[in-house]
Amino acid sequence: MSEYQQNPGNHREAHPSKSVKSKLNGITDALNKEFDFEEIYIENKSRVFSTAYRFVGNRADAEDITQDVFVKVFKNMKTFRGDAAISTWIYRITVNACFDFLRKRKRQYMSSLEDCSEKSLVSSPLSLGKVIEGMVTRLPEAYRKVFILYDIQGLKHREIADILDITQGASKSLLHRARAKLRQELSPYVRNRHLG
Amino acid sequence: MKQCYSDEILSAYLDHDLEPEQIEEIGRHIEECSGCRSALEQITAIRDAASSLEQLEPCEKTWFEIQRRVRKGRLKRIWVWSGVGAAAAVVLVVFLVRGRPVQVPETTPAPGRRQVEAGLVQEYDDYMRGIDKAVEECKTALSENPHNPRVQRAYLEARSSQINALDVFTSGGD
Repeated sequence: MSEYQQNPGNHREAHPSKSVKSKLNGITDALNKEFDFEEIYIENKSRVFSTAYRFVGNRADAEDITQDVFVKVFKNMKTFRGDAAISTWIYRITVNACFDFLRKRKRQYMSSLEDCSEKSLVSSPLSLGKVIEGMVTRLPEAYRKVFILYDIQGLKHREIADILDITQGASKSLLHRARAKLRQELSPYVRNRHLG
Repeated sequence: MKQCYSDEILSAYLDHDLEPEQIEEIGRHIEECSGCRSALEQITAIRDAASSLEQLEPCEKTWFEIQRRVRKGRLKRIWVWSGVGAAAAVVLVVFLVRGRPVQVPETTPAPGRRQVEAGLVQEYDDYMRGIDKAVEECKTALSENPHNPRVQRAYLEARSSQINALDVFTSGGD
């Protein structure tokens, strides 16, 4: 018979909120970690998902990568030393997860722009943004990383240097090469659609 | 007129990643050179279009799947260690009784048949009792603080752990 059943009139005493709190302590320690984790997820989910989507070019794979990233974040939360912003740490895990994923699949991911020729680009009804989204998946790995993080995700070269473990100069140089490569590929489209 | 600039230089010019005198020099060149001006406009259009791409949201299912994987991993860790502990204890007891190590015969589960490792039944039961206790405590707390969101979440989490544990039991801890 429980304390409450034995002495129902003494309900408040049998279950004062302090006692309830202490009873819950055991489980709340574990749950607190999950609450923190949920906050981290809410704060970073769109960064992770958007980055993954731009790397692989389709939603289903981006969802899988997002899952992998956050499971890894949860497992390594204790080891995160806080030397960098948590978002920087998560971006690093995301970029690595994207390339691990692509290497495992051993094929390049193309969006709806797969096999697009100059002709199809010119006649494409897609916005320039959508065209770029497709073409980014064709960029060489190093260019792609920096272009996505700088031009699409809006990070600074200092942050990208931290994430990719390169110098800021290298980050800038890779970005300029990526844009040059994209202009080369997109020249007909850009000329016809946007610049008359 | 000076020689035209590469796309890389024009991109650096766009971001002001050059020395002030270079920026000035390129600016003068662009005014005169339609080719470089057009290239710069195209690079600008690419940069602007990329930066205007919207942030995307994963679907709701992603969060539930992450939670499921996280809990499954945690349960597995508990069971691996408790399984190792139980096995070690059995070997130790038998060693003490017989005075020599025991060869534990290797068993291979028949296809389609699930086996429960020795010692794990108790661990499963203990684990479930722990969760059941947490559920009961949360229910008590909820009866006192029905509108406290922290208690509400604790209750839901405890229930969810119960379901996940059953899910892992039925899948054999895979």
